[in-house]
Amino acid sequence: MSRRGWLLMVLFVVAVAMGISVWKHRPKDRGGSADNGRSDYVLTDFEAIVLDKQGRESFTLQAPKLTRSPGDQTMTIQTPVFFIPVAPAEGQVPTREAGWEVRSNTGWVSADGDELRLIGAVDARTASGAERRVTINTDRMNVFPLTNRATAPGTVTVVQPGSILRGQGMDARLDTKRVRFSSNVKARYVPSSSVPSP
Amino acid sequence: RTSDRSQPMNVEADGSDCSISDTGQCVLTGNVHITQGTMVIQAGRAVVHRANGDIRRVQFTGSPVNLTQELDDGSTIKARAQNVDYDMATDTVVFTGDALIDQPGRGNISGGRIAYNMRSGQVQGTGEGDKGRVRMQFQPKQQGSR
Repeated sequence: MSRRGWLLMVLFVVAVAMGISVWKHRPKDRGGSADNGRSDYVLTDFEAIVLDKQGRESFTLQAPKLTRSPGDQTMTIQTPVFFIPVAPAEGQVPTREAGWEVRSNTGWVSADGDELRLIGAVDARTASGAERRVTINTDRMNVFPLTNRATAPGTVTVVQPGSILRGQGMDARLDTKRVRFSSNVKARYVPSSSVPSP
Repeated sequence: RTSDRSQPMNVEADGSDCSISDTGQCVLTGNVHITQGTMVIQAGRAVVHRANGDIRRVQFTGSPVNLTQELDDGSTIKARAQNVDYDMATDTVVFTGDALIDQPGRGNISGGRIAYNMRSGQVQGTGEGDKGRVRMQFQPKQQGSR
């Protein structure tokens, strides 16, 4: 075999040896690592009361299933129901009766519970005790319980007795019940003494 | 029409900042277009005041605000001003700032401030400040239509 042939043979053997070595030293699969999506604990049919740094109820969560991701310590929830207490008036202690009930297909909670992401058929409504209930519907909503704020990028519909307000790009305050829309606003007010349109 | 005030009010705008409690106000900004029965209002900004869920008053500003409405006798009015204050409790619309109300084929009135009562159809005009005057113009009736 020519000198060139021997050289190619040697190079081939070295390449194969290196390949085997890389394969042998690949990172082993450490069970429970975040990357493979396995959670470190699962809750089923539970109610969790999440407290803020002062030990007050930040929100309460009921759901059939919650899985927690060990890597970033976030939680994913199926068909969650969040009860978010709100202060009935400035300076008062937040109560559930003055607060909101928020439902969606799926939910996500940040590691320290300061952000809730609600996805799919989001339905937020003032608590059942409210005399004239307000309902907010959209497809995606982010709620920040500690600052009583909720945002939604898409189309949002706000319904209350006598009026329907719809818009896009919502930024709302759950405590003062103030809702801002950045575009495409449509509202319909029906007087209580309304006569059907001719 | 006098029945306009009990019709639903439809509103469109670019942006809004609303209190959704029963007595809060709703500020609408950018290309505000409001219809209520035969009344159509276009403005740059509108503030809707509500009490117990019902609208009590709407304040418009624009450059100018334009209002059109059909009257019970079928005729129409066209009005414009820099500010329009629609008080639903008293059925009165007050136009201020270069205000003009025109009733095609009948006449028009212009001045600093014009108050128009939608229930009675009465129109009251005052000048702009101490020197302003009210100007009115009546169209003669057509010959043979006496």
